[in-house]
Amino acid sequence: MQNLKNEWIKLTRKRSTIVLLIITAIFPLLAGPLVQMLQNRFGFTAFDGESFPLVILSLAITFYLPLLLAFVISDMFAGEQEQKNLPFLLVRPISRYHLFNSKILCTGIYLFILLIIICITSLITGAIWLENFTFHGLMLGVTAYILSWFPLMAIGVLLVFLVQWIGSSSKALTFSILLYLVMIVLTYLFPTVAQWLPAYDNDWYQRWMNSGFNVVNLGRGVYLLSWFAMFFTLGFNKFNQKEF
Amino acid sequence: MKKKVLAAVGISGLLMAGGVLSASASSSGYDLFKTAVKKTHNVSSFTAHVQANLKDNGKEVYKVDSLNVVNLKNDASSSTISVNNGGTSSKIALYSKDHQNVVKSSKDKNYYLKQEKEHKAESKHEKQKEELSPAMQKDVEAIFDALTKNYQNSITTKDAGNGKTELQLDLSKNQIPAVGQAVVSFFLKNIDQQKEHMDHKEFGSLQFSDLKPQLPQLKNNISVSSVVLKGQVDKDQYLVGQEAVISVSGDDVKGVHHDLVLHLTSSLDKLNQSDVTKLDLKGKKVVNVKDDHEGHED
Repeated sequence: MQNLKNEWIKLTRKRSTIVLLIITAIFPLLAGPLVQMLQNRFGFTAFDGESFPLVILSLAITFYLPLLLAFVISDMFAGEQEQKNLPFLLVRPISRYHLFNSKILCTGIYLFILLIIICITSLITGAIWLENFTFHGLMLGVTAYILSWFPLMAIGVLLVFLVQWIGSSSKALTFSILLYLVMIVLTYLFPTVAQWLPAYDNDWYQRWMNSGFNVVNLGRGVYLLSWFAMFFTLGFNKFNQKEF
Repeated sequence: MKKKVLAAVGISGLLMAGGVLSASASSSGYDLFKTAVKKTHNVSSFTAHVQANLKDNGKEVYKVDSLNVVNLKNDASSSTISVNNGGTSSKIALYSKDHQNVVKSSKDKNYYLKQEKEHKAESKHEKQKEELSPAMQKDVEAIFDALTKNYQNSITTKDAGNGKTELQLDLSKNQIPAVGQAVVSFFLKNIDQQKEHMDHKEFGSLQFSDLKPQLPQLKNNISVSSVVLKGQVDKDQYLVGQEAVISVSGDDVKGVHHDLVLHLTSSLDKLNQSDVTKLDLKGKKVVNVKDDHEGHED
């Protein structure tokens, strides 16, 4: 894949990326003993080895991962434009389509790696510190983490599209966070409106767990994929016409 | 180029709409439940048969059986409650009409009467406050929808015959949200303190301690292992039957494992047609009870 390696190196050589990856790994590892201590003190097992990875996941997809996603996207598009790095890329013999594609792919891989890190560390914590760690729980955890990639990526593509209009990474980041907060509030106040937004599906892994393969989950799956297709097209269209 | 973009956006937009609409169209069980709850909320009178029993490791430790006739329009109610608490059973009859509250227990022959006068205006005022404005009701509904969105499609419907529909929601341990787990466990752990607070209440010979369930004191590993909720909606879309089975497990102070199962059923009958018959106190031994803690009611 043209330029993917280039994008990946740019992303991973940033000190902030490394630091964030380490924080991502450490948080579940520290949360485990803490939860264990609190539970022993109060005597209940709200979190056991089976549910702990899912609790961490629900925290991560509501607060942490959208933030990191907004961070990496605003840096990758608006940030590069701000630092005047993009023109250098554009003069290379790569089409704009491949350039755009590689950036999205890079974001997707980054997100996937973040999810996998949280998944593995929370599973390890669950296995070491908490009771009732089962194979069934392990499978459930891994599936839930993989499923969560889809709604997050759909939000990511929307951000990519909108960030095309913004020329500075800090502005893009602020805007993305605000937009995400609005989507979350909408989910609670106007579910009928919110079901047209991907943030509605943030915790759709719970729906998969509860009811498995049915019309609703299939419908939401089709929705997420077509949302992805739509904003990928629109985003690329804007990126293609843009002058740097 | 432009045409291609438009075509791609159009197709994906259509697919998106299809996905969302097909997903939102199929939550019929939940919608039925919601309309039934709203409709049942507005009935003016009903007769409710409520049963509850609690089992500890398969042994029944507590059982309540009550028949309540409630007429909200006249602010009247009467109920007969029988409690079986670990073998000892007691019966209580409660009656309330025309600002008269009467309590009669099976322990003695006295009828305890309490008159209410000055509360009339207050209770009316409270009632008005309780009723939500339509806009607020809608907001509450929206929040409820959002909170339950992942469970709505797990509700199964079954035709129970006679125009009745049965709704059921099964939740296993992993499907119960962690917050719910924590709240239940915390409540069970701290139930001791609440009991002590209530212990001193009595009404004549009727003592509250006779009625409280003897729960094993859970100390460790408390968790909710499953919740089953059932509802029955009749052909007029009233919620006439409700059932809940909640299983909790945990260890007590000695390390003995307990599986507690709480089984609640409630069935409604004679909707909008129930009336409380006036209690005749003539020739009966009546004891007047004064409100000794006026002003700071809890």
